Amino acid sequence: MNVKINLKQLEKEKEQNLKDRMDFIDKHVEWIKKNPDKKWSKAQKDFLDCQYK
Amino acid sequence: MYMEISENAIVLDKEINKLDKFVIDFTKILDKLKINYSVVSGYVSILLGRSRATEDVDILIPRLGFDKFEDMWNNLTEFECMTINIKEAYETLKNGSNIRFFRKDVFIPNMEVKFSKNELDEYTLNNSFEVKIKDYKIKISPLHLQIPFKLFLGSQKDIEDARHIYQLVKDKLDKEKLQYFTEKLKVSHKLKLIQ
Repeated sequence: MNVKINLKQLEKEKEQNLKDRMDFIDKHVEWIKKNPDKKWSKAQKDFLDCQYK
Repeated sequence: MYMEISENAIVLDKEINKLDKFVIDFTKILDKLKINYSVVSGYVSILLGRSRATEDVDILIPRLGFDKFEDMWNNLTEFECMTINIKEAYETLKNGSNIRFFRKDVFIPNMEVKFSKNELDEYTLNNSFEVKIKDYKIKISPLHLQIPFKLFLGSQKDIEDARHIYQLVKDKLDKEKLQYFTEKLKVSHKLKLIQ
């Protein structure tokens, strides 16, 4: 096998991914703050309940 | 109604999901028996809105004598312990390990119970925040400690949990206490990851 792996590029992608994740969390928190509890928790319930029996 | 955050209490008008119900059903029994507790780790961020699942919920309780532990064991009638023998379960806790309870015939989620074993655990138990949802209340780790502790654990999931909580409560957070625990846990250099 001769697979070329560009570790520098992968590191850069990893960093960018982390930054994107953090931006997503900030936007999610903003959305929670701007919306009534019923609204965000309904979305959370829909997402979570199908994962538990 | 919007989330009401004060210095050590949060009032939520949230729709209770299956994970919340699992925690409420378990902690109601501890309340009934007057056993202090504090829910710690990942579930705290989920309770406060983070959309991710978890297999286990960590809960800290004081170091109980065997009789009180037996009382708790006998009252957890809707739950089963992975350690079947009560004496073995008690010894496991006393030796500093955890035991797990789950709803009968449902393996996940499970409640990972641990005895308080150091000053940090005692601080957590004595300074819990209270989250009120409708008629229920859940005691959670004080957020000025929960955030640095998550930074200390340090996985990407932990840092995301810490960031979620910090961004949500930063205006109400006791900054002095946050700084104190951040320094104690030697994670000051990680604060930039959540700010």
